[in-house]
Amino acid sequence: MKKPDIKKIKPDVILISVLIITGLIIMLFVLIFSGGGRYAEIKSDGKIIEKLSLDTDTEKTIETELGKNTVVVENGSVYMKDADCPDGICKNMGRIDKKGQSIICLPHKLVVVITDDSEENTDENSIDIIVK
Amino acid sequence: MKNKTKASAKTAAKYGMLIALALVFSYLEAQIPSFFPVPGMKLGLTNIIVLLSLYRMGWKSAMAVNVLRIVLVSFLFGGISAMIYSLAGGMLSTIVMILLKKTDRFRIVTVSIAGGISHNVGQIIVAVFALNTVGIAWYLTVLWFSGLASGALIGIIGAELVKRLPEQ
Repeated sequence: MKKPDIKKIKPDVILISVLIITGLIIMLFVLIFSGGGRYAEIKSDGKIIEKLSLDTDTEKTIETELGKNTVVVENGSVYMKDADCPDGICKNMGRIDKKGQSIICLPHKLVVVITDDSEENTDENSIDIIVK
Repeated sequence: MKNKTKASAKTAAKYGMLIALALVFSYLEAQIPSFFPVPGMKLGLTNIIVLLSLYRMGWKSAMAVNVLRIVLVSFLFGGISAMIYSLAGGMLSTIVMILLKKTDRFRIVTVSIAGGISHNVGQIIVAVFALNTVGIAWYLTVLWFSGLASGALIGIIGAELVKRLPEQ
């Protein structure tokens, strides 16, 4: 009685195990490769006030006592869409998408810089907001 | 099946019933999308019908029921883009289930699990091409396991139904 039973169940167990293991492998891959997800950090006066994922398109308006800046994430790159600073240089700095690149709005003491996750631990200013 | 004219009337009725049932399930499912946190994650109730037609009427019926159901649902509730996603997922899962069933080695639950996963994989493949982004990679893991879970659930229900319904 026992032997045919085992034979009947075996292929199912094998296939389901294979499927679960494949799923776990995919998960591992995703964790490894997208672990260093890219972000745009927005710093005001040296402090990180926003962290935007480059994977999702967003538009964020930062308002400080110095003025207003609108940062846009689009197709994996960031640009300053609007700013009410007197020179408007930041609006002309174009799109950035590589790690370390930045957009600086001097009059508003605002910096947008591209980082990846691995820097998170070494950064002194711990992140308290992640906007996705 | 020997008498073609008689068989075709009976077949038409059977197909009509199955597709109608599949449509009702699709509609029911469309009413509860917010229940799940990730878009694309769903129960796959209509897979009960596909399983039933696969095990009781053969692979051609399963394919026909599924394709007709997807086309009809898309015209009724969805749209053309929704249809492409559904077709990719539906076709892939149906093909996988047909092939697994042909080996005659797997239980219905297992076949359904493989179908559930391949359905989601098919949709993601389309999404990769449509959105041209790697950002949906994490999505695959979520949908892989949700497909596994819903496939198991649907497989258990489907197996019970197949057991209770006579071969036609």
